[in-house]
Amino acid sequence: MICEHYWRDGILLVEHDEPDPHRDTCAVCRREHEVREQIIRALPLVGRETAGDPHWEARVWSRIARLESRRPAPWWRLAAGLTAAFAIVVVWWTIARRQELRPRIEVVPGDDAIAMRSELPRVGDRVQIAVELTDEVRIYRGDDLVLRCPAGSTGDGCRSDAHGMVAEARLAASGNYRLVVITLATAEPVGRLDLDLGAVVAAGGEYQITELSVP
Amino acid sequence: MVMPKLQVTSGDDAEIEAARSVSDKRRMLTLLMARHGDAIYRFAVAMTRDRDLADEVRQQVFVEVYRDVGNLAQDSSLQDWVFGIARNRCLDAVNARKRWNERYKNAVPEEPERDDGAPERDLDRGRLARILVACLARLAPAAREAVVLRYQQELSYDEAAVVAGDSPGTLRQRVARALPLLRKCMEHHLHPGKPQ
Repeated sequence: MICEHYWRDGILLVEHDEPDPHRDTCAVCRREHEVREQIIRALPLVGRETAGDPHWEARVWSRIARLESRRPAPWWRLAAGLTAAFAIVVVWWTIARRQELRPRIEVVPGDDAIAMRSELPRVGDRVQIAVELTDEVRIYRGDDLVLRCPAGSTGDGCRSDAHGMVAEARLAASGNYRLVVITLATAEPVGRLDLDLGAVVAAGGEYQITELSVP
Repeated sequence: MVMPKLQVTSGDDAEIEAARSVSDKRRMLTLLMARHGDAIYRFAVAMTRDRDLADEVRQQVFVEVYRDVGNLAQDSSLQDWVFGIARNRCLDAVNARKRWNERYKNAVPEEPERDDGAPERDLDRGRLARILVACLARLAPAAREAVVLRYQQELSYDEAAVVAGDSPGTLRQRVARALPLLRKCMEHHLHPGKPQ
């Protein structure tokens, strides 16, 4: 026989450390209470029959070692890495900017250009030369001067702003165009390629020349 | 009834606190593993009913202890904190196993833990403990946790409440409702033919 009172109400009193007057008068409840005590005494034994993996502590240390090897670097290492990355970006940007400012020559198709045309320049196209503000641009067709853009000038095919200068000329006729970029030009051109370049060299200047053939 | 505290001398606690005060994590973990390792394992066995899983939980608990002990407030109880981690890892493990079993339709093995006919008085305590493990597994997780924390780990209701994140009164109720079920289950295991 099981005393319902004990397992319904009496046990609640036990868990609250409160007296149970009924139990004092009920032999069945006292027996049930003893059963409860046996269960309580047995509960600490749960899991004691085995201690588990005898090497568990070593495994914990091993997992910690793996964890630490993946751990993020300390702040000073991160800071050094960020500084190095910043320096690389600055160097890259400087080089890229220099390359951007080098004479950049581009042929822009004319208004009458057709789709699927050849990539070769044609009469009617325009040539654009982007240089630094301190450079001078001269465009010759054959040996004759077609366009001159002194350093930092604006107007008549020349356009300057804070980033540099762009010289633009229409390829009005077929022939060999010579695109000349001059640094430290001190000599005024006379309009003939060989004479003008000779004067530049004589004045201590330097030049870079690009051939553009327009059929 | 005054329950005995965990079976460790206070000298261990002093050493742990000394290591904690100088942030010596390795020393602290060594001491904590010696102090609570077996208790955490038994707790995990009771909660998961799976020794391999219990071993895994124990390892995971102490890895987390090492990882996070620096973030623990100085006035927090290490024991409550360690058992709190163990509780959460046990719940995770049990839930993961449940999902696995549901997905692959694995029936949870029913451990035969029947008596071989020997009189109850001859039952050794080890067998009683094994039957208890089987019966604990039949309790609802919250009830099992309350019983295990209170009577297997022998925490006071106040300590168990911190670990479980519930009030001591709630835990008392859960234990009071779980013990009759344990009693019936054990009766069933000890006397299979007897009507309940």
